[in-house]
Amino acid sequence: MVGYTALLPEGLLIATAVIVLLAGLFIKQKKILGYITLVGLLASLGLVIKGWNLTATFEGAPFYGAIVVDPFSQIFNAIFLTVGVLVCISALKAYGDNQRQDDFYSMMLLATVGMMVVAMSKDLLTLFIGFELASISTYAMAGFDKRDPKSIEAALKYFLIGGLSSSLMVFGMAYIYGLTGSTNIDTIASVFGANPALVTTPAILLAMVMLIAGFGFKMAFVPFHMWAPDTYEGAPSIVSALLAAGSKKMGFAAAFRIFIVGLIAMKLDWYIAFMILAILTMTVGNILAVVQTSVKRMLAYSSIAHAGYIAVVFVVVAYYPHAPALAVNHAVTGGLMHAFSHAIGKAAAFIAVGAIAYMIMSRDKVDDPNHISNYDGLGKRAPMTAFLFALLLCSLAGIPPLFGFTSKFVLFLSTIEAGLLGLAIICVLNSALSVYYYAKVVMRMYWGEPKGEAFVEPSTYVFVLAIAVIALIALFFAPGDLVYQWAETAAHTVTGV
Amino acid sequence: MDPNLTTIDFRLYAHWIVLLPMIGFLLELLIGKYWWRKGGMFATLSIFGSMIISYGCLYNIYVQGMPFYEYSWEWFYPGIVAGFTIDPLSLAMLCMVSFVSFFIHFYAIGYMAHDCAKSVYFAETALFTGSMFGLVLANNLLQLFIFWEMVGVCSYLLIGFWWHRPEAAAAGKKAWMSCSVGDCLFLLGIAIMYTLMVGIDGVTEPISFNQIFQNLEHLHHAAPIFGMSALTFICILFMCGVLGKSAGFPLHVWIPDAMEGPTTVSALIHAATMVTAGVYLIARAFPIFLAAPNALMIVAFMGAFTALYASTLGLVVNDLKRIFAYSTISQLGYMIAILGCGAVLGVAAVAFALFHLVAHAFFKALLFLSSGSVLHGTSNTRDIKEMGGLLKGMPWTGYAMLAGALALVAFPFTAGYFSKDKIIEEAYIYATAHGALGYLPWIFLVLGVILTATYTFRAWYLAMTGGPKSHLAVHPHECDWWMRTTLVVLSVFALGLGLLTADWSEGFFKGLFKGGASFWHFLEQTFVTETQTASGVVYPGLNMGDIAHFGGNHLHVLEPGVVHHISPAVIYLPLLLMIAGLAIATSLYYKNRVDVSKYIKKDNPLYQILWNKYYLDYLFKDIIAEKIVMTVFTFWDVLDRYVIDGVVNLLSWITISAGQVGRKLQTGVVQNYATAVIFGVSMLMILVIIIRGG
Amino acid sequence: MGMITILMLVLLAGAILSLLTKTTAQARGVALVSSFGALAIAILMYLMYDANFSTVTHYAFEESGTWMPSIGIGYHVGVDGISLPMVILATIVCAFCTIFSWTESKRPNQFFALLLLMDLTLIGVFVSLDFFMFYVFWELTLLPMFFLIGIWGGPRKDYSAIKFLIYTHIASVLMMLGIFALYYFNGIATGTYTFDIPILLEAYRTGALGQFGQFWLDFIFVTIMFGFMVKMPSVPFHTWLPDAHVEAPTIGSIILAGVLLKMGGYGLFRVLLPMMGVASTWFIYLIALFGIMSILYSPFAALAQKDLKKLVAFSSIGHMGFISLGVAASALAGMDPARIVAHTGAMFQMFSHGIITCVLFGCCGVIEHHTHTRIIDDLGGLTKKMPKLAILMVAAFFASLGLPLCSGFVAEFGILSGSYGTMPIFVMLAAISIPFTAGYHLWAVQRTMFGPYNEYLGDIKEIKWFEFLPLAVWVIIFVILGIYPAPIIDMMHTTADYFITSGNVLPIGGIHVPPGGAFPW
Repeated sequence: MVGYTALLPEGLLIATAVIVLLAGLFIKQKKILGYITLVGLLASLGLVIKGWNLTATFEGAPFYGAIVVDPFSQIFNAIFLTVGVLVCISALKAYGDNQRQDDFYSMMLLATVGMMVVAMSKDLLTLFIGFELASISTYAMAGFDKRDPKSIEAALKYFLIGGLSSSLMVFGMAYIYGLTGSTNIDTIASVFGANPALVTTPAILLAMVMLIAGFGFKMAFVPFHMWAPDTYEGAPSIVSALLAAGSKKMGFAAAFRIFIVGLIAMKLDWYIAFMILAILTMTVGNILAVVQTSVKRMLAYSSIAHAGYIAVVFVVVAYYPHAPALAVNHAVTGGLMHAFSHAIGKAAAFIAVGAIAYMIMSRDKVDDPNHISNYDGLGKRAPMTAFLFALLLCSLAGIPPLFGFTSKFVLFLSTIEAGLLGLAIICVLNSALSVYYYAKVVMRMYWGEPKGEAFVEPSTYVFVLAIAVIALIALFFAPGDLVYQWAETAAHTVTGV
Repeated sequence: MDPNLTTIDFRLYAHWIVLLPMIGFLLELLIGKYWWRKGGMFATLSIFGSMIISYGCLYNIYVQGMPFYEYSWEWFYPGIVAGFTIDPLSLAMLCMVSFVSFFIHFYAIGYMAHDCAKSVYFAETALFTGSMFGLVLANNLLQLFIFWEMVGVCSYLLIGFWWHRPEAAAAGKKAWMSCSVGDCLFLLGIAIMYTLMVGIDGVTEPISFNQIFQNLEHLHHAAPIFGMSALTFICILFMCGVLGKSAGFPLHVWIPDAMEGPTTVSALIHAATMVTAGVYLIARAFPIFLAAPNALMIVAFMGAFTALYASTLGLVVNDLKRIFAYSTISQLGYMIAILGCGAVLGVAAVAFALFHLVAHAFFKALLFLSSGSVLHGTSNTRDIKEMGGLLKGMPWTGYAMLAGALALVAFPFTAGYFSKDKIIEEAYIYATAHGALGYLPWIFLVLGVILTATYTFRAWYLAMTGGPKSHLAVHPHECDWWMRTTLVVLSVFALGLGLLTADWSEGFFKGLFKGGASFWHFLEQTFVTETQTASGVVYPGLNMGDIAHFGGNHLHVLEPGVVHHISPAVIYLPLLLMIAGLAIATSLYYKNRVDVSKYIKKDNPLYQILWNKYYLDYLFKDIIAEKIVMTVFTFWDVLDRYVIDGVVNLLSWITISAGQVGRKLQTGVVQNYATAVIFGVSMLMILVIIIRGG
Repeated sequence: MGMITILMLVLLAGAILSLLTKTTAQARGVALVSSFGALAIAILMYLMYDANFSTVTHYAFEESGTWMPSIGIGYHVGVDGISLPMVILATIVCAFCTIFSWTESKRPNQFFALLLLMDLTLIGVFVSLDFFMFYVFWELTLLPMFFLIGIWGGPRKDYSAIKFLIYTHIASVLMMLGIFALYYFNGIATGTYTFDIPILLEAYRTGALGQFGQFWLDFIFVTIMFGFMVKMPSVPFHTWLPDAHVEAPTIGSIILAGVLLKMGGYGLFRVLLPMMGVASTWFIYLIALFGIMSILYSPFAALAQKDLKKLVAFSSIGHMGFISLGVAASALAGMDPARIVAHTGAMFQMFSHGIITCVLFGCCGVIEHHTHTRIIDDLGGLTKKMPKLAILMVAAFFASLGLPLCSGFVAEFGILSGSYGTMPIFVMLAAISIPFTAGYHLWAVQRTMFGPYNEYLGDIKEIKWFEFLPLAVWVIIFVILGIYPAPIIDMMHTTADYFITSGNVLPIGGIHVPPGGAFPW
């Protein structure tokens, strides 16, 4: 029974969610709920980090091995919770005087719980449940600004394509269950390992493709990405932060759990398929990001591109055993690190965009506050925000001294180690190209002509951005090694090679 | 004489010969402007100091008979040294340069008295003189090259001294460019020499002259370059440098333009000293040339041809200074030619060349300074067609110029008579030794004599005699005493330098006529006598005969006392031709009695060719520089902008337009998104099936 | 904590402090203290060099600590006879740049902060002995320059800044792949996964990586070489440079040409040289070919330029070409003394060109600042108004065209005479380029300084003291080094001697190119 303490973070969050929901009915001064949420998130984040290399399986009732706590789940939990904290703090400012903020907080908590469940699940069913829990709450959050038609449209698109992909996912899971008679991932893997004849049946092929499509929707792989720009752009910025940083990573959590184990077991030559997916995703993401005029939409595309980078993990893993074990572990490690750095960076970046939009709307009358032309001279008008935003963009572009560089470094290292030279060159060229559109924003901010007088910068947002930037810079230096070790242990637990 | 003066070993202070003018340069540059006649004194005095040391060294070697001396310090790289060598060759140059330079500075104090940038002028001339000393004293190729370039810079700066005149600036550039064409090849030659020498064991200073001379046999066996002996290749590269600096054909084109500078500059740099650096280089590197097959033949022919070529050009020019410029080119040709004859004469050739060099320095400096005084007196008239009858107005100048002219045309018993006619005479020996083709240099040189006489006196008669041909020439005013003194001193030397060749032991006249030739004997010891070094190493004298054998040359050796038999006709031919030329000039131009333009029309083809300098400037400037090179540059710019950079911009254009296309696919219609998902799924399946099928 | 760390911290502190200041005076004060402090430390290191030199590792002031041990990233710095002069160069240039920009009034705090940051990152590149650090600093140098061009730049700054950023960034990411491969194969071969430069190069040099096939060895070499060649820059990868120079502010150009380009040359010595013996030998000829292409290309391109600054930019492309030529030639088998001279010359060329080009760009900046134009045709006769500038500029242009008694000649003579033994044809071509180089320098001087004064320029003032002082100091430095180069060149010579003859960097006696191993010719 000791093992159950490992579930404390999730329990804490659920409890907080319930408290927030109930309290919301009575309390008039609802801002307090935000602080309660924040406390809950911080506490559970603390627990997760404290037990970063904790391993606990739950064979008996009530879980019957459906979930597991291991470094892999812990690192993803840490990602989700960090994002949650960032979003929550900025929500204090964004929805500070909104009457329905209790719903927002509770939904955000539930979404987080759902993601954590996905990260922890060892069973297709729990995985699906967690997936849906997170998705449904985020559907609602995407449309949180009722009066904003773009927000509604975003939510709708998200919901429709989400529904489609969920159905595909269930389809695939059903096939796998039908073929293996089990929904437990380990069992599935062992079954495949036992009779290789199975893996060549068209059915399993169909199932795999369905799963790829299902997760690919969340991870925003091309061509399952099309909802992402519209939704990220339309949804409230902090929700976009949650989507791009949190729920996207949930997709990766699921995909890592299933594909890595599955692929290694199945020894299929899926790597070409995944390579095409990865290259397509990063290239399309980058090239489309180059031509965007809305910064928010540009960030959306850049997160698609980053999905492409992380997808390199699957390529390398699928390349096993041609790729040496070291490469596989480095790939997963790099993938996890990049998920981490990208989550912080992208979440903060979206929040920054939100903050800037908020400031711009407060002063100048423009129809689209996210249009790049509004960023002219921001370095003068909002020095702190602009400076931090620039640093966040550097992290996303993978320019030292920020953690985004380290993670990319390790990730690309693995491609060379795997001997996938073409992939490596395409990756680095893509990342070089991505510098272009990040730099364009920086140029606008620092040597465009200011359109008006200086802003008063919302301290909350600045605080959030500062946290994110400090975290990224700090992680670049010595502590980066701790994250590396964490990710490496996690990688070992999933790859097992 | 002060007894303890005799005990000073000036050879140890040779580096001060270079350093003193450099200090003078700094003083002039920094404080000269504000102090003591606003410039001029520091330079002049510092050069006087160098002069004293130079003559001290001469005293040590010539009178006291101290051994030749050389000392060096480690400089840039291991074996690349800064060194100073004292031997007759360098001494002859030193004494001439310091003496002439000192008096030209003395003259310039008067000549430049009213120029606002006087201190800068003297700073530059001091720098030039110092560099010239450095060049002369150099014991290695690199140091020689370094100061070779430095004098080039000073020449560039001084030609463009009146920088606000575009033609002056352009002339400076032209001078530098013409020289730099030769210099880059000279530098290449040094690089090759370094590479050859550094491989030989026992060589500590790969490009020091003495060590090269000691290892000529190794070098003789070095691998050929482009099918010719490495030494010959190197010598040809050196020769290119010489053609640039000493205005040999075809790189001579810069000298006439260089007359844009102040006349003192023309006298100092473009007549007396710098342009002789090329001659000095061949003299200094003579053993290398001797050891290189055919190298000296090239030298002889280039020199002789230049001598004749330039003297033809002198006939038609009307610019007083340019006439003397062409005569400079021509006389340098004589020196180079006789050095070429060294293939037969050995070291003696160096002696003859050097003596003509020294004599020429004096009388040509005199000619330029007197023409400078003419310019001064007639408010910068340079066209002799606008002068006339100046002799009355400025007798000092006029007679000084006459003295110079007589020396130039080798009038009996002037300096030129002893130096130039000797050269022609020795060239005949070369001819006899070399067979039919060998006569060519001698013929060129002899023909040069008559032309020289003609154009020189054409200039003098038109300028000095007859009546004024323009209002400028009506009231010329004579120059001040600074300049006058200089003119007198130089005239004395121009007329009397021949005495140097006398051998006092045999009494004055006997020595003079029997050609005891003490100067030549002194110089002939140059390479064949041992040289001591500060480091204790002693370089033994060279056996020129053996060295000549490497180069396939056979020296024409004479037992002492035996005078080789040349028919008097040959010996006195130049004299006769000179008189003939003089006669022509007198009959045509004296008091401007015949108007030549009546007989020779402007459209006379021969006249046209000469007037246009054989179209060589046209070829270099209009065809090569402007047409060809400029076209290449424009083409290059297009290449850089639109091809190389075009590729870069094309890539970015492709990326962005691809993005624009991609945007179209993002319709915003949710049905299309769903379609895309389904499409993706099916594509993925087909793909995997294909992979697994194949 | 060693000297190098202190040096970097001084600059970092200066950068942060000056960012916090308000007025020009404060920012300048901080910058002066910090940059001259750095210069002082650098000079101190120069004086204490021999005392701290380790005969085992052949580095001085070496420091090493752990950073990310899990993947073998460490903090490892040290200097030797090639990197210490570069550090001195960087500090000299940046220190006097702070004086040069005495009256910078546009965003002074950011300006001086970026200046110090630039200094810091450049020094970081030169002292790093760990590939991760090296690459981090290599990337970091882009940012300050990007902002210097962008914020203080000219009309087309957006295009130039982004071109500079992307072009050189692409080069460096490809270099990163080479580093990865080196790291990984060394890890497999030796079992220790590390980014330590000496260890990796040692492994490569000793052929420990031979088991992975020539392809990967060449891949490593080519990617890294590409990074350096773009940075130098070498024709045909040079087109980012003229644009960057034209738009950059004077200080930007000075640091860009003076120090930043040297990163590429430095890389040749530090990283590529030990690899030359193992990678395919025709790459050595390729490097030499890049060099000779730049040498021959630059004068032709320069003469076509209307903009004085662009002309100067092309001149530095040509001069950097001499470095490639010297390095490549000194690597081949030949007579050791000559090779050492070539090597030393190439090293010295980096330092001397660094100083000379500062004056060139400084003069361009002064002219632009006083006459508000850089178009050569609009200038003329400036000597009339600014005689002091005329002296400096003539001195600099002559030094740049390789005048003896200026440091440039020492270097180029060393390269030419040292390289002839191994690469005669290339040396002949390089020698032939000299008149053309002289041609465009003289042309520029004649058209700007001499001739009649262009009255349209109005009444312009003489050069100001804070412009005159740095230029004068730089001129004095390169003249002194031209007459007496020993202070710098001795250190370089020792290192070159070690590189060439010790057998720890290049094979003893140099690299023998088998017939057919080289280019067709």
